[in-house]
Amino acid sequence: MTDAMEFNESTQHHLDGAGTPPAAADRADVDRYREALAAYREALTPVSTAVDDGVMAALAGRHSPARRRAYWHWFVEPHAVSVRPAVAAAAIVLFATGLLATRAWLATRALPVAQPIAAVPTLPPPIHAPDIVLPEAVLVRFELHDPKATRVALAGSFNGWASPGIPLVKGGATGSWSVTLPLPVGEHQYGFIVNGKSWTPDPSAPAQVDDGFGRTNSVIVVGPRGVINP
Amino acid sequence: MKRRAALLIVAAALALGGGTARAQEPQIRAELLRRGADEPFADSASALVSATVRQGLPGRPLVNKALEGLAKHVDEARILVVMRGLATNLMRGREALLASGMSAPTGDLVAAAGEAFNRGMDATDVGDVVRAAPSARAAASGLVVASSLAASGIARRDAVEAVAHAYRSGRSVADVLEMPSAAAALVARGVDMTDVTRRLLEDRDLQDAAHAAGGAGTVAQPPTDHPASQSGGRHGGPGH
Repeated sequence: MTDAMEFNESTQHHLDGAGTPPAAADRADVDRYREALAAYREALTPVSTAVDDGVMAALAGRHSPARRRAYWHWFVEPHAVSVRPAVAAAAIVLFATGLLATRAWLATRALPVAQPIAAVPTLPPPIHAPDIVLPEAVLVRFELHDPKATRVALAGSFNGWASPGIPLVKGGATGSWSVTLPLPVGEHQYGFIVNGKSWTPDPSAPAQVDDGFGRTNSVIVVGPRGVINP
Repeated sequence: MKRRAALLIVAAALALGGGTARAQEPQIRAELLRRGADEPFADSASALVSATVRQGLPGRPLVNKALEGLAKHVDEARILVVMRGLATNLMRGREALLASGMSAPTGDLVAAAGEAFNRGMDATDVGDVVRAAPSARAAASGLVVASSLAASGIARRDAVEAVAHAYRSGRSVADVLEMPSAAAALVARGVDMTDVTRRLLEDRDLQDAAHAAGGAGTVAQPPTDHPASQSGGRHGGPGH
């Protein structure tokens, strides 16, 4: 539109409502300009109100991000807070009291302590029981035939090699000594202590190994189903 | 990447182990003194255990060996030598486990590998069992069983192969732990060791193998009421 019209300074003054009335030539320009402006306004078709309604309906359910951001900012931005010392002290005392009360209540609801494995009914009286750990115990019978022995004991990895060892019981006049122990599944090294001083490997043990000290340890691997009776 | 992760885990274990070792040293020293050790030996032995634990290795095998030596009235200098040898084998065991792809071996597994080295096995033996085992626990049990079978007279490589084959065939840890007992039952019934080895390698049912050898051998059947009385297995024999 500016290409089709030529403005001059007096016309601009007239449009601004200032200055002297324009000359005839200028008036013609103004009239042309007014006509063009009126035609442009007529050409504008008003936007349907249905569009506005649709847009507003779509936005109706949404929260304003700006408002949400404003809430969040209220929490994260610093604020000047004035507290009365007496109120603060009372709040601290109240919190501490609540904490202690909660702990006392929880203590009354403590779970019972796990009980140790009950004694095996078929076992002889406890023999070095504190030294033996029984995660998955299997009863194993140890025997040594030694008619001349006056005392026979058993020590091994299962009792921390504690001396004087787990005593074996003599079975009558046969010279056979024996003891039955619950042992964890796995490998155990052991030996017999005859008459309180002589370390003797088990002659019937499935395996023997060098103990590193110039002697021999007997080896037994206890399976979950026990030891097969040879 | 996997190797780097393994190294990081080992480094973390070393860092954690350092504090644990320092905390346990007085307890170990006290335990040794209670068993009749001299103070210099208790100091040296507990320091050796601490140094071993600081390297991320299990210390309990060393303590047990010290207690065993004291119970047998072995010269204390000799006990220390044996303990150092055991510590070296624990280190070799852990290296073999790491080399076989076990990124963070447990203390039990390292102890089993160390004991395997102690009994003459090598890194190949350890690796073969570990790679065949379905878990770290199975690997530890497998190494124990292979070592035990070898100690019972079965050739070392045959013992390793029998265990590895059992795992590869889908045998459980419980089955593998039964192998030494089954082999012992066969031997006790006069079966030749070569035949025992063959049966193990063929992975026949272990209980059947034991029964087939002499008929009288039995696996004691466990009562069902208590886990600790699962079996009344008998072990022992004629005197010395």
